[in-house]
Amino acid sequence: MKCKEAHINFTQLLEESLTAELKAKVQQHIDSCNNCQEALAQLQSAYSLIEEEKKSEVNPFLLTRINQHIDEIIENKKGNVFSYKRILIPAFSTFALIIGMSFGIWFGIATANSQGDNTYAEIEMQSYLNDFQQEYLETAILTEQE
Amino acid sequence: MTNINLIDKIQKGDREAFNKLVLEYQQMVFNTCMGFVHSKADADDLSQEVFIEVYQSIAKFRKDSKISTWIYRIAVNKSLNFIRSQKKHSVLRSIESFFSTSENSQLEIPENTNHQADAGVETEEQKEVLSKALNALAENQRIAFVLNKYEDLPYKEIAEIMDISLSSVESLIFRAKKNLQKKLLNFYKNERKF
Repeated sequence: MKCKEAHINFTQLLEESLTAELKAKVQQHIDSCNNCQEALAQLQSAYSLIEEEKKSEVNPFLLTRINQHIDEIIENKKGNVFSYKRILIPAFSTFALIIGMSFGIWFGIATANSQGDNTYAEIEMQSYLNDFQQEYLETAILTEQE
Repeated sequence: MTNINLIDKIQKGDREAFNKLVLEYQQMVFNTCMGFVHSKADADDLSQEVFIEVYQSIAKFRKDSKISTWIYRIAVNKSLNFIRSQKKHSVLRSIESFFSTSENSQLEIPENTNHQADAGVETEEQKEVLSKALNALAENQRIAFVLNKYEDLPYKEIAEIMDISLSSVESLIFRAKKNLQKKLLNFYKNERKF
């Protein structure tokens, strides 16, 4: 048996769920291979840790702490019959959104209105940038020459 | 007192009945949380959160499954949420430490300051390795493995808790064990990564 094949069976070996025949083969390989012995030992220590963790005892004061916490929750519930936070925060957010949108719309309208001053400049610029107009000019020059 | 009677009383607000429920299931919840977080202190805190959730949500319990199944589900969900939040915090901490100067960086004093290679330090390292190997498993595999290994639950009960078929549980546990072994052996081969 090679190391790779032995490794496949390590977990089952530790859980003692291998057949007798396979167990004997795996054990035979482990007895003759130092690497596999070490690997198995490491795996075994990991599983032993799991068993150790399972033995941990729960905190004896857990019930007391739970009851204290529940009492606090009940106290808070009684005190805050009407929670202002639940109303104020969404109301403020909605108000801020409306203000923001209104400002944006006003700014857009104001900017659009002020564009009237620049209209003449735009038309003038367009005449320089308009290729079709140049064509008419060229045509006009050519026809003149003719 | 049967569990159904106990639930009825708790739903009516009987604190004594709730206390009995806690005493009956606290070790079970603690073991389950321990299987995920591997720290006694964290498992204690999580157990507390689980039972507070039980108290607050008892009215929603429909009695179509066992009370233990329902409590296991809460314990598993709380534990997984805790691990996820720990991961987020560790990312934030590493970003913080990247930007902090050497003068401002806080010294982290390890719990065990004995630097000699004694059994305590080695055990802590092995615990950390085991914890990382388990956390590296796929979530479903981890849940099935923890419920099987830490709670010794039969496959049928795990299937009820996870709401999957029996064959799925068998497959998950098989893969979990195989992957856990692979990760542990890779680590101990001095690759030191999962």
